[in-house]
Amino acid sequence: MFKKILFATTASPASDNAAHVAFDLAKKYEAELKVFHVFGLPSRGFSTTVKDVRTGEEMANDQDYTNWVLEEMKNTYEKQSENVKSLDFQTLAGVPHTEILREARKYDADLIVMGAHTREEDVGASRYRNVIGSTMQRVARGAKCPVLIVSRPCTTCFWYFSNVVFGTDFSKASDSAFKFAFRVSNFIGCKLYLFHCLDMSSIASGKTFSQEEVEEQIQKAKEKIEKRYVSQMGDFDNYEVEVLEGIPYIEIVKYSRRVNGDLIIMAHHAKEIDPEKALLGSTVEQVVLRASCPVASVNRPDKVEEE
Amino acid sequence: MLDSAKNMKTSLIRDEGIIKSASVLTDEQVRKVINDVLKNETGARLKTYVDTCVHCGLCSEACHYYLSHDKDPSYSPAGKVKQTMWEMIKRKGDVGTAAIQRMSEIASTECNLCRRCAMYCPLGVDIAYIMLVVRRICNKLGVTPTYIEDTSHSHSVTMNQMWVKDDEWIDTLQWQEEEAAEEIPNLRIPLDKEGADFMYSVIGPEPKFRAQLIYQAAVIFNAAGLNWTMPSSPGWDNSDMAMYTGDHEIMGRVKKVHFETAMRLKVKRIVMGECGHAFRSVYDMGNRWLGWKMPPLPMVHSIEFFHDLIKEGKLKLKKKFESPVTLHDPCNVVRGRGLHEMARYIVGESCEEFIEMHPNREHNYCCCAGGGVINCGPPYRNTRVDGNRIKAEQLFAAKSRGAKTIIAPCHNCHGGLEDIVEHYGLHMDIKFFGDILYDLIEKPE
Repeated sequence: MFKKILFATTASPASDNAAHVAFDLAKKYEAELKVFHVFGLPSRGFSTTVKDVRTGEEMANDQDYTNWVLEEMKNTYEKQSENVKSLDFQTLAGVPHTEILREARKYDADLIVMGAHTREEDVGASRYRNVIGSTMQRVARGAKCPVLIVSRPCTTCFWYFSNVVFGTDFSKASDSAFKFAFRVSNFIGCKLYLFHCLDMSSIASGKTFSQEEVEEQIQKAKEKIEKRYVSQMGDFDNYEVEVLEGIPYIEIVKYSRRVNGDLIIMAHHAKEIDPEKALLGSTVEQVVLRASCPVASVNRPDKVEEE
Repeated sequence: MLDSAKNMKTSLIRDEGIIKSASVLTDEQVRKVINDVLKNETGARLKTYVDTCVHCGLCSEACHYYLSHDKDPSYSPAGKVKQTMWEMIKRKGDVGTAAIQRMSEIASTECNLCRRCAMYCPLGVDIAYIMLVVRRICNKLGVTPTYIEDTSHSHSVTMNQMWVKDDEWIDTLQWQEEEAAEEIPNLRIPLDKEGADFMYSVIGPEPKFRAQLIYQAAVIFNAAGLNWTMPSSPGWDNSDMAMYTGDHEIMGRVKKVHFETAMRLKVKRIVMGECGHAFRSVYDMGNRWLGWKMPPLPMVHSIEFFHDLIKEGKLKLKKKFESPVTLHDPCNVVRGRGLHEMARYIVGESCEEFIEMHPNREHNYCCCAGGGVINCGPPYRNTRVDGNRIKAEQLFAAKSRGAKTIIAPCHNCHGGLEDIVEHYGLHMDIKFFGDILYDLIEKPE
């Protein structure tokens, strides 16, 4: 299922929940794990100092500091590191999302695990908040492999997932997300919920639909799910199809809650508006912020094909 | 005004590079270096400038620092010369180690070498040149702001600005090629293609921070069906912070590698990305330090290049950029090369609505990031943001007439304007021509 996992960490408690999942996954699937931390640069003018994540102090960005951060990372994750087949720690200075994507490509990762917004009570949380949010979005958008975003404590663990929710908008990127969702469900042997939301926000629809139209479109979407996805699932019959009308990110969270979803899988579109420009962010970000379970974003087919 | 260098106010900013270096200097060393540079390097040019200046003060109104600081005369171009070079000459180099710190700060961070003042001097005194001589003297004494000095070291060691290793450079190009090929199948970023029509060179921060720009350029060149290449070896970076520290020896080495790389690839010319200071280095300063009056092979800035592509019909736009734009004229390609009308041609062809900011063209106000000031790093952020209130007012006036997007075809200008837009709450977008064209051109299916 997974051979190489890249865990992109803020090296702060904000990533603890993600760390838990990343290490568990690596152990379960006997995968190689790389723990990767990028410290952001303070400005465009390239600097010789960096801000320490924990203390917020200016530190000289030299080999000593890098080694110290590496040592701290190893200590922090020492307990979880036991029984991981192959473990590597790496840290460097740069723009986080650029370096994470660069490393994922170089390492040939088939899964990236990362946290989302840091928690308020963390030291440096307010400073990192925006950066982490946009880093997550930018990585999710650019990555060739699935990106698992863990923002809250994960009560189940990956191989215990019993209800996987796949949210689709029938885009090309969603096809890749489906491949991953099906592969995961099939592998674990859990139930797969295929879900679509008819976007009723006035911005998207531009007009008020009559109830007949809504029902007609729901029916059409259900047929589309059958044709586009169910037909590919072969003997697999542990699934359910649902289409609801509303605001997509709200409906998918509500639906997931209803069916006790413990993993949501969806696409984050490459052509979506620049995340830094969008005030509310994308559907994926909204789901990540609201859902109680981890969210996997899949954008491209490269790493989700059956072997 | 300050009468004596010995009574000069001390540095405003605590910059370790300046303080530590000055702490081990002696007054005698300062005197010797000043006199050596003045005697051996400046010649008739500096003498003419010093002798012809009639202290009329007409340059004052040209300077954004002066205008932004409520016309404080110590920020006027002549005032800055008075606090630095005139003191050095008057005292025959005997200014002391304390004053040299403040002189370095003035020359490196309170002047962008934008040469707007040269437009206002009735006698044609190039004050930027004088400030550069001051920077060179300070650099020879080791009294240069830390961040930009580190950048200069990177140039010296790696021949690029950002400590990008050779394999990282190639890897970044391959990465962007893969990304772009998803959008346009068969797209290539041709490496080391001998005899190509042009070599595309960029600045160090592109592979490091803004790899997307290389992707966009590749898509544009591909759409225009061009025969181009990028080098796989050092020499790909056209930027040059050593020029701004006054370390001409490093500047010369960096430019030599850049030119020689293009010659090794036997390309017909060099096309440079949207960077202003790099253009100054390749077109004006680096080549002349190396002994070429003009660059040894043809080279063009992206503005001229895009202008030609559109004019010749090689780039076809499927629609125009809708949001109203204004154009920021970067000093080095406008006062330094006169590309302002070409830039306006591109705007006219690619944008629905153009709103001029005033003043404009060769009289445009500086971004306050150029001349290496932004590269002096975070300690001087406020120096350049507070020191450019006039730019915020100029932008706000354009905004109040409807402009939403600022086109700034220069990396330094981008950085400077981003900070100004944020600090003064202007809420305007900033784009390169490359960003606009990438979105609008017809791409092969």
